[in-house]
Amino acid sequence: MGRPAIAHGLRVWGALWRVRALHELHYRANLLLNVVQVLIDLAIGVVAIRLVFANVDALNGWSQPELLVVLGTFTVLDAFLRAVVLPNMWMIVQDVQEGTFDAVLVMPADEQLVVTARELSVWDLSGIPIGVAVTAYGAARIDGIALADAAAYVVLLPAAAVVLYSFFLVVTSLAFRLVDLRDLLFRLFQGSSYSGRWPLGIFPGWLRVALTAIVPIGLAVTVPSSALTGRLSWIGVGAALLTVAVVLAATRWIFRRSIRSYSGASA
Amino acid sequence: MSGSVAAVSVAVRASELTREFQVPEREPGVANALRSLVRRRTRTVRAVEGVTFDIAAGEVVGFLGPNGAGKTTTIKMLAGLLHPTSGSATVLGQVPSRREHTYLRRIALVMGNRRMLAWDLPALDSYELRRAVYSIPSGHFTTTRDELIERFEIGTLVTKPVRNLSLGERMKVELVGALLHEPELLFLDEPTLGLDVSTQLRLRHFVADYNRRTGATVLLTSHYMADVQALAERVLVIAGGALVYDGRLDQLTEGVDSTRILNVTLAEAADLAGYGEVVGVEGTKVALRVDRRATAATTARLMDAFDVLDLTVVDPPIEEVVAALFDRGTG
Amino acid sequence: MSTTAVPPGWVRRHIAFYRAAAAFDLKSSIQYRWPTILGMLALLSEPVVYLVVWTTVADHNGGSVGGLTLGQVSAYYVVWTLVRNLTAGYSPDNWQRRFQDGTLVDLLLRPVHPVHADIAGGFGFNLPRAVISIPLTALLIALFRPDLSPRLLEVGVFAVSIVGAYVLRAVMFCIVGSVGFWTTRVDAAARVYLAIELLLSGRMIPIVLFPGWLASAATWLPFRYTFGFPIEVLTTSMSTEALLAGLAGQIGWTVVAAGALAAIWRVAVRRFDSVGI
Repeated sequence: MGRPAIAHGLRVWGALWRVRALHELHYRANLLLNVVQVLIDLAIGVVAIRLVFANVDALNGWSQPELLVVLGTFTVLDAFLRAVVLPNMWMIVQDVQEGTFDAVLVMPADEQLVVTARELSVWDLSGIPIGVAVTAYGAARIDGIALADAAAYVVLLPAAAVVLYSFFLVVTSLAFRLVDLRDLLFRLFQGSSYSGRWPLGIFPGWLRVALTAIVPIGLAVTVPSSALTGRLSWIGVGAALLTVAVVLAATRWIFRRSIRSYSGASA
Repeated sequence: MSGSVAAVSVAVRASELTREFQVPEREPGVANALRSLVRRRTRTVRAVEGVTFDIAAGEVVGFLGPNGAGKTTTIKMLAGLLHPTSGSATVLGQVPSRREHTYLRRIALVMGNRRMLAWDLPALDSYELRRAVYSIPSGHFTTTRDELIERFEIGTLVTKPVRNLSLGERMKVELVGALLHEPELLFLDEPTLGLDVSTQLRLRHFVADYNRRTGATVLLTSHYMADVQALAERVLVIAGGALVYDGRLDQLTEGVDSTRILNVTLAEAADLAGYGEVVGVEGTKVALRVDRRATAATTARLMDAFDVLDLTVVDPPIEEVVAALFDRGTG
Repeated sequence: MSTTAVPPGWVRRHIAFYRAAAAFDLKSSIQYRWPTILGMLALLSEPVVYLVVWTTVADHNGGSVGGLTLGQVSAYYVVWTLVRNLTAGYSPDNWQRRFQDGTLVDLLLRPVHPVHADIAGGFGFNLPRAVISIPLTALLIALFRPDLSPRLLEVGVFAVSIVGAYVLRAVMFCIVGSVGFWTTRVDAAARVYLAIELLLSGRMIPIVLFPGWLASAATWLPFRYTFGFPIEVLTTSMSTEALLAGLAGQIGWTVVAAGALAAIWRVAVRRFDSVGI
């Protein structure tokens, strides 16, 4: 895949999202509902933190503002999943079930790009600025945040998003073999959203591993948050970025393998 | 209680049935999109306007008309799914929009583009559920079900998950499911959509058979002329939300449908203007409009004069028939 | 010519329907063995997270939090797991799908209200999960050693309140789902409802740990009866009057919710425009 293909692909992506966004702008009730929804989710999260900190000063070393950073990061990543990842994954599952995936294969653009970009739940994106605001609010109340920490956060947050996207794409790639993954995807997502509000550090080791294995949202939330709150060294940042690169490559390989087996099977 | 279910000679009475929808105005472009965030403009669409007709019990009536004409909306009002904006309807002596369970048990609605049976389970399981939904006594149900399965020839299909059936097989299985509670009135909305010709034929045959045996009233909508021709003697043409024709089908086609289209594929391009009205040319393919009575003769002359690779005769699309009706005024 | 000219009475009809619908959806759920099993495992993460958070807090706080000992916190979340699996039903997201793919029309054509399909079907569909959750809870009891010693009366009330919680919750979900007659974003409405329920039902945090004003509010609102009340019955020592008052509250709220659903539905169906389906 050479450079012209990437530029073309990005143009396609841009066009798809623009059409989507313009279409959604007409549904103003949706905007209101979404903002309300994110705010309520957030309020619940804040209440939980307040109730915890009514009883302790720190949760396994994490102070209250640091937990706000975790909550804000979770809100951003959750919004990203709902807006970009999940709608596209469901579309893939539906296409496979109804046999319409061939339409994707026929398009003159990279398949992974198409299945990643064609669906977008525009209003769910509202969680991103809200989450960033909460994170900033929490970060402002922490003493001694270095510029380097903030820079690391800015780099690691999108990296975490990429990891989550890769995880779900790999699971969905299994849809080419197993039949109905929609329910499973939904449950994985839901189940993970409860643990994702808390930093992995509070969990005992074995549980940390288990939660990360089910859905890596704990990891995705904790790593950038750790960076921002000064818990991550440069080596840690480097290792995280390297992991993301490896995960991306592996995901692409798995996805392409699955497509090949799909098109081979449908004679 | 038995009095209300006794012989109702008028099965359907529609009187000035009207249905409006509020449709938001959605102009393209960013500026308009942002504007609509603040101020929403809607316009009123009259999907059905002042439709009036009577249908006798046991009749098979076809609703004909172009896409979006209001046929399905009318059917949905009669089935109790949509509330009329104004006007009234009485079906089987009851008011559909009240959605009384005694009414819903006497009708069935089958839509061509939708499935009512569960995807992953065999049809037999869905039938069992319908038995409970419609409170059919089990002995009677078993007899009815087995009879229908035999008549529609779906014995081998009902034990497979519905997902594994072809579109045509699914339609048959769905139709049987709709008839299990022996409805007195059957609404069929585009039942042959997407089906191959032979399945379409069989489906029409089954429906006609059901009407003959049980005396059930059948309301059929379609934009395929052939569906209506095969099943209905009486046709209601709905166009632009209004009823533009109510009468016998053969009178409709006789009066209006006086032409045929010949689609001719020649070995070499040629000018066929002398044989009829040329309505379309694409390379060596020519669409020729000829008078209905001259079809056979013109075909013979063409075959004589040219090297004809392929030739089909089709009815003009229903839109033309309906448009012609508009020109002539209502019948 | 329907020979069933005189249908059986409301109760008999609905009993027969419930049996058939539960069996039908149970059969459907058995088709999805793997997603069900994997899904259950994923859902286990929720109570475990809460358990960890609150036991950590209790640890830091000298073995108790808000008047609850570690053993009591464990008890709450172990019973939580049981209640969660026994009262699960169809999510209001189901309604989003129904409005989009046209299944709603089939439901509207039935001489039975859709809420019954959800109550009966949800029960059938979740039966395998409910059954598995019993040995699972036993395992959790062995692992976490919670502080659990309920009286016989409490067990009895618990069993009744589980049914009540399930039914109330199903009716509330139906109310949320009927938002679809007014907006396409049923999923958004569902999320709002679930978020509110998450907090006010005692699912995320035991109501006893709420600050006073919030705890009072939670006691009056219906959400507690969909989740927290059954847990409290088994894990806290409530007087007989309190137990019966709780049951009465549950029944009361169910009646109110059913009435609200009927009223909303009547209005909703009138304005239904069946666009696209």
